[in-house]
Amino acid sequence: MSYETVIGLEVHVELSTASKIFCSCETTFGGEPNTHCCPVCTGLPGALPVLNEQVVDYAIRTCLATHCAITPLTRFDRKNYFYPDLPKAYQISQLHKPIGRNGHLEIETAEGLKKIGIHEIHMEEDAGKLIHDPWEDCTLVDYNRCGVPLLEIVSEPDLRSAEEALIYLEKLRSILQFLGVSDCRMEQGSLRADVNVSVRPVGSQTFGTRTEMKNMNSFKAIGRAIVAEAKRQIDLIEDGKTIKQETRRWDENKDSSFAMRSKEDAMDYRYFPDPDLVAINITPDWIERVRSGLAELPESRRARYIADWQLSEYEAGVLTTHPAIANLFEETATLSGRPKDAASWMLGEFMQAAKEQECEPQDLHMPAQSLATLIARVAEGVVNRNTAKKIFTQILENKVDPDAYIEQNGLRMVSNPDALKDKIAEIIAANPQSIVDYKAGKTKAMGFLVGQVMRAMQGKADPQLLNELLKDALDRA
Amino acid sequence: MSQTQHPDLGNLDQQGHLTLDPILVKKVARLARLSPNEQELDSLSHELGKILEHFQNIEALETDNVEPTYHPQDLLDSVRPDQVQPSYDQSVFMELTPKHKDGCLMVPRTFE
Amino acid sequence: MDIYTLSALELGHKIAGREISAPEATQAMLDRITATDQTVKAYLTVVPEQALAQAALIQQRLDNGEQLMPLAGVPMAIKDNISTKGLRTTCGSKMLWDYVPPYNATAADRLLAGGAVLLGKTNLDEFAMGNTTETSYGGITTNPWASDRVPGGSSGGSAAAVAAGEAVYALGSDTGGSIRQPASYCGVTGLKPTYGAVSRFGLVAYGSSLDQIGPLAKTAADCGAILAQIAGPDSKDSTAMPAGRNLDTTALLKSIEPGQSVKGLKIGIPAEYFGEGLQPEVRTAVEAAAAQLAELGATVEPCHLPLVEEGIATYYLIATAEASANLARYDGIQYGFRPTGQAYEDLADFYAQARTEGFGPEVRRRIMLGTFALSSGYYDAYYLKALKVRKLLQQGYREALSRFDLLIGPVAPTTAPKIGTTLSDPLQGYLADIYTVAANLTGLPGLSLPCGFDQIGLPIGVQLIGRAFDEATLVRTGVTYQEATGYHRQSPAL
Repeated sequence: MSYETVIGLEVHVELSTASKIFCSCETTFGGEPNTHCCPVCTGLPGALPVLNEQVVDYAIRTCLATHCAITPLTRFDRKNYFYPDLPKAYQISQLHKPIGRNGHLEIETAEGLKKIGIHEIHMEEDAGKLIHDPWEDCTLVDYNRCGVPLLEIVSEPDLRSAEEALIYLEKLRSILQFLGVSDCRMEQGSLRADVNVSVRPVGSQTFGTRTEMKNMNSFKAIGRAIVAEAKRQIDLIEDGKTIKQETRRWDENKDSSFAMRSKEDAMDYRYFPDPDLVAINITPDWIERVRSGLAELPESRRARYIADWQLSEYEAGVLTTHPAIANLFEETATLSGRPKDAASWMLGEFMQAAKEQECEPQDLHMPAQSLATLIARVAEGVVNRNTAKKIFTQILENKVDPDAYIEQNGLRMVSNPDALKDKIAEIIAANPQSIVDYKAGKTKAMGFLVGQVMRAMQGKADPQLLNELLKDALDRA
Repeated sequence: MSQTQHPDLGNLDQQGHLTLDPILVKKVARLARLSPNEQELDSLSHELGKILEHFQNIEALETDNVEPTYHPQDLLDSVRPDQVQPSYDQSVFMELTPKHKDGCLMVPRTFE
Repeated sequence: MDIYTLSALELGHKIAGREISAPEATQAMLDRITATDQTVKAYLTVVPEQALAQAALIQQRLDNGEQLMPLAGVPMAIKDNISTKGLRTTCGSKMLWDYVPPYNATAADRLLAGGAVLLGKTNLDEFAMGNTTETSYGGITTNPWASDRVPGGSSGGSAAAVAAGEAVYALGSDTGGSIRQPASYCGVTGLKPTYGAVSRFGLVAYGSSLDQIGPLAKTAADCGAILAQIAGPDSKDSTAMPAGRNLDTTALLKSIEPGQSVKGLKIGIPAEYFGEGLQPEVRTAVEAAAAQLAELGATVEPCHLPLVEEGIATYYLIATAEASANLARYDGIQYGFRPTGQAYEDLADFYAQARTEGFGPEVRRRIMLGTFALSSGYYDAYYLKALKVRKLLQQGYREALSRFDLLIGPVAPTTAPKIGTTLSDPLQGYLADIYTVAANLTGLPGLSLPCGFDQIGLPIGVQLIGRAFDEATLVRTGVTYQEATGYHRQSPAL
């Protein structure tokens, strides 16, 4: 029998506000343990929450971008459970009146466009961090992350494969990043996903029993976990066994998941409206204010790059994977007036550098002004492309100013034919075999000699002129 | 009040008062992270039963079309601007907690 | 003249006029505490050195001509569920017996900033859950009028301290009657403000949608002056912020001036407040108080209020549900009581041990009740039902107060019961809150005034309920009544 995998995703993103959701402590990642804390976020007796307005703004942005219906009177509920990372023993979250419902995202799959339903979006507070201490055989608690604002974006079970799940996640991440509501750094835990997986025979209209998987810390792990879980469930069915509804923990090292110890009292969270907070009235005016300030989303930017700047689908697609890339590209293209060149630098050197340094694009030092200058200098013939690449690296690593660097290091391209002719004569004289090879039709010899001259001139030769003059010299030799 | 009205809560005792099902009392105690001993369980069954029996006087009230009240006043829109204020010193939290290490609170092992 | 017999405004006036110095007043109160608190046991913590140092500082500020509140230099006490920075705040619980808050409650902060002298922290029912002050881990407080009687609760320590002259005034908190009822039992004046009039920041939560901090003092005028100092918007409490409605402190301060009148006020006297179980002497005294107000120029008319009895179930379901979450944080991990040297099976077992040992029986009972009311399968029938009845109750009171400026009735069905007689039957104890819980469920302000004594000399209180944020009318009526009567001037022989 052939099976279909049914997947739903619960994505948690930490919002990029300056302060926490219910108090004024900073949200910065890391820091010495328990140094971004106050009575409110650590739940000391008598402390009370007051909602950060920016969290609502960010949530409205996200609802608008995912076509959710916004709840006019949204409120918070307490979700009760005991765990050491939750100092109040309840999480302030939303159950009864979440801010957004019934939205969708369109993803591009191999079979074409597909609409993935968003069941709801709600605001909540993050919990603290637990660290296992093997020496004392105990757990250490750091409350810094307690109260960092989160959005939970719950999809409908509309995804049918690991590939679709990853396309959805990438799309969602890029939207959240372009909206400026989250930096979505999985390695810092600012984007996390729980995955619900079930399988059913192809053609079946009812859902199979689902399991929930936690603890995946990369998109790659999510993809592998889905494939492994679907296989596990199919194997169980084929063996005539039943699937248990449970929460499973993904073990990246073992490439498999295992059931988390089930709690006897099957999680009765006893949600009820938090009496310490009041309803938030999201007026049409408020929504319009947010809508008018909404950042341009990747799809629209991509279309614009293709129409206005004649970029290819592929180029425009890559440039709109992250707002830092798109912003740098657009600024550079405008400043230099050479969008094609700007795209070429971004897709080549810039992406390469981000990959090598394994960092987020916004962490690279590359001011648009510097890159635009570099592009202009190449176009003007002041430096050649190879020299420009070296300067690019210098900008990244040492934050140099390109013009100053060119002057200080005498990198201006040599376009004086006389200076070149002398060097060419020298090199030809030193490499008689190459002339023989050239005459015998071996074009490789030409390349070799260009390289030799270029090296002798510290790479500063005007490559076009060099080619012309060398060819001339060889033909005459 | 007849027994059949509240089959989900428990039984009537000899005086005709509601006694909560001990299984229900145990379930609630576990949710609340309390561990009453046998004697306390028994008295809780009786006391809570008697209290809930009395509280059934609100059951008969017609509330189908009544909106629940969350606050004495219909309050709206209490929000604050997204501004960072200094946090408390780490030592404040270390002084409060019974055991700590490296700036963290020390608690029973949670990892499986 | 003994300093401890003065009202807060009288003493404040004498301190401002340099008749009495703040340290002198503080020393007098400390002496009184030494003399009588062995019997009354109103305090859990007394801080003589700190109080004297504070008094000296305030005297200096007054001498420098600084503008402080009218009650500057007046020694007072704070209920031990209101956070005081650097001073242990136990909530009368083993769980928080050594807990020292790192911050001040807003209400405490405003009094201290205005020049109040803090004598110490007063006893209460554990986590304010009770109406006798017998459930405190710190022991029983006795009624200054009869040492075999309870002072009421949960602010029993605050009420007893004021009645015994061990504090000129005190802060209490009121979730279902916890200011008004002990005020009535101890023969002092107590005011529960409108929900949202005083910031709850720093008040250790019991029932968050019901809790309010308020004053207990010798006179209604004192209560008005104290409320004017602690009320007002607070950016730290979402339910007391500038966006919402706030108290008109100008009107409030005007209402404490002498020469007030109740002429033209319409007062409703609900028949349902005089039902079964009301002690005859209480009925007589309350009716006499209504007659007195009529004589002073108010119109007093009978009226009806719905759901007075049902208010008890409504209140206990909501309060305990909220409490079950509010008290979940006490688990022996972050602060407070942690059992030592005992083995535990797992984390759940660790929590259960800490909580079963750290909480007293009444707190555990209410946590159980509230957990039940919110649990899966019972939420709709209990918690949600209570929220809906609360709406009906609010509508009923709103309707009555559209016709009347005030409602009048008893505070409690009886005078102070004997120590040890209430706890054996929890339900009977809950039923005694019948006349006080409505003000909390509706958020309306309530004032408790001494209005007489029963046959054995125990004080009786009368309750006035006003419109939301109209404490000025309540206080004005109290001031007028107290100008015409002398019950509030009586003090117990200690």
